[in-house]
Amino acid sequence: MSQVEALLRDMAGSGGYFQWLIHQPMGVILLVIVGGGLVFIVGGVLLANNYLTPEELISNTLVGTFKFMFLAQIFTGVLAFIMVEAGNRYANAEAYVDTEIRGLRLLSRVVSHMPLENQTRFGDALKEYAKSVAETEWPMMASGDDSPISRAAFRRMLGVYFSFNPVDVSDRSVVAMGNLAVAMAVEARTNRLNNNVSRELSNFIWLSLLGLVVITAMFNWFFGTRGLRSQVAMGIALGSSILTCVFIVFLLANPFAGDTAIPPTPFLELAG
Amino acid sequence: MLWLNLSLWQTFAVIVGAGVVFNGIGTLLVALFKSNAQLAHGNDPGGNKFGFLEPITGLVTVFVLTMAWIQYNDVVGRIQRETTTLVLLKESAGQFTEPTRSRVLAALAGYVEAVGGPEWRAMAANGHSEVAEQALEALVRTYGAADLRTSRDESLMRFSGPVVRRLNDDRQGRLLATTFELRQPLLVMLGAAVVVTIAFSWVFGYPTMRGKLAMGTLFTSGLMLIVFMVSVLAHPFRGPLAVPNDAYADILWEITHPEGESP
Repeated sequence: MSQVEALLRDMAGSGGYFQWLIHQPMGVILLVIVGGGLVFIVGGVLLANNYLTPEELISNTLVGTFKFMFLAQIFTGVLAFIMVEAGNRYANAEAYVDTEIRGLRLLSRVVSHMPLENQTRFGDALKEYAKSVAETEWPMMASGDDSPISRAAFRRMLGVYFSFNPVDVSDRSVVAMGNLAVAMAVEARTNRLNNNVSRELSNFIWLSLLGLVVITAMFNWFFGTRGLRSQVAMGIALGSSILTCVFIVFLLANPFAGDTAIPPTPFLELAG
Repeated sequence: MLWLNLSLWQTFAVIVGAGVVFNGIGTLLVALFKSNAQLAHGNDPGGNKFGFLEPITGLVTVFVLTMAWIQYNDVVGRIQRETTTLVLLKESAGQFTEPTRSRVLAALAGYVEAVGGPEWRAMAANGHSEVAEQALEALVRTYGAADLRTSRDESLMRFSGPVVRRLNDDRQGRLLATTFELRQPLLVMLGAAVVVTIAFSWVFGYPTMRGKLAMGTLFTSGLMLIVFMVSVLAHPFRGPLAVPNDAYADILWEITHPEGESP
């Protein structure tokens, strides 16, 4: 098997080309997205110059620029929209992790008012849960999955909390506070695991984004000047700016994978 | 709407392809009656006089796309909220002593199954399911008639009571969101704006027919890409971007398989 075949098999086996790319260093991702895109754009410019005369290109520029320029503004709006959505999703992922940790810490403080036996059992269950999230579940979240080990550990931890039988008013007020913390932690954990978009929505966003980029790039091939170097330089400038936005969307769309992944540090701290 | 039965890629190909074919036919038809030179005379006056048309089209497309996305996201958000509430109930229900534990879990499973099945299908027609309505009532009754044998059960009931009320609110919110379809006039406005803008480009003269066809194709593809995005987002429970009921299926699995296996 050639090296190329081996690489393609490795890419496909790691959950698809998309999943393979997100786990590469940022420099490689930048090279693939921006570099690959620029090759496409410049290649198209050179190809168009083979078939169209400079006069044709200049005439296209005069008519086409004022006729079709509004499309660039629509596309800018759509691209901005997609970038905001991706950024929002990344920020939400961070917020859910933060909320879950605060819920667990609050629950831990509430349990400190319970009998020693409950405190010890809860402390062990919390550490076990936090460790399983950091070590087992975190890598799985990159592919949008959760860990059955973490799920079971979470359930055991809640079981220890709910095993406390309140006997007086003071106990019941402790439990009331604890219930809020439980709700906070359960909600945040569920949101953290459900933050990934569905496969269909992800395909839709990427299809729309790549369609937008390809159309914008191809439009550029039909506008020209007398100098090929100027046309290539402008194509590179246009392509770099658009593809950099695509690169940023790619990184933000995967909050738990790659170089910009949210680290499981808070859970490691909880695990001790 | 036949295209709602197609996959995402097929829908993309049909919508964009239809636009490209429309543009091609129109461009060639106009060329039969007017030469490029004749059309080119109208470029300057036409561009200056009617230059407002494109920004209006841009405004309409971005507005309708934003509305479609907000609606779609609202539906997804409501479903996420309800599934979070169901997870809260599931986790606490598993802590009750028997027989309350089994009864509550069974009632919860009944509701989740009803929503993920009959009600999911009903929501595609902007409706709701009586089966799910009855399942929710059964769940509320089960909690209300729960046999609380220990103070732990009482503590769990104090936790679960507000959550059950919240579940009712979440369900109403979800059903309300599914009734808000992108209004027909907005879609008609978008369609009209796109058709007029595409047709307008036919009456401009270009240096060569191949240049006119090539740029017209790209221009049409761009506009139809927006139409494609709006078309799939406008139907959250039908078509290639239908919201899946996986979250409910997962919850049902976890209720019926508490050992912790993955579905």
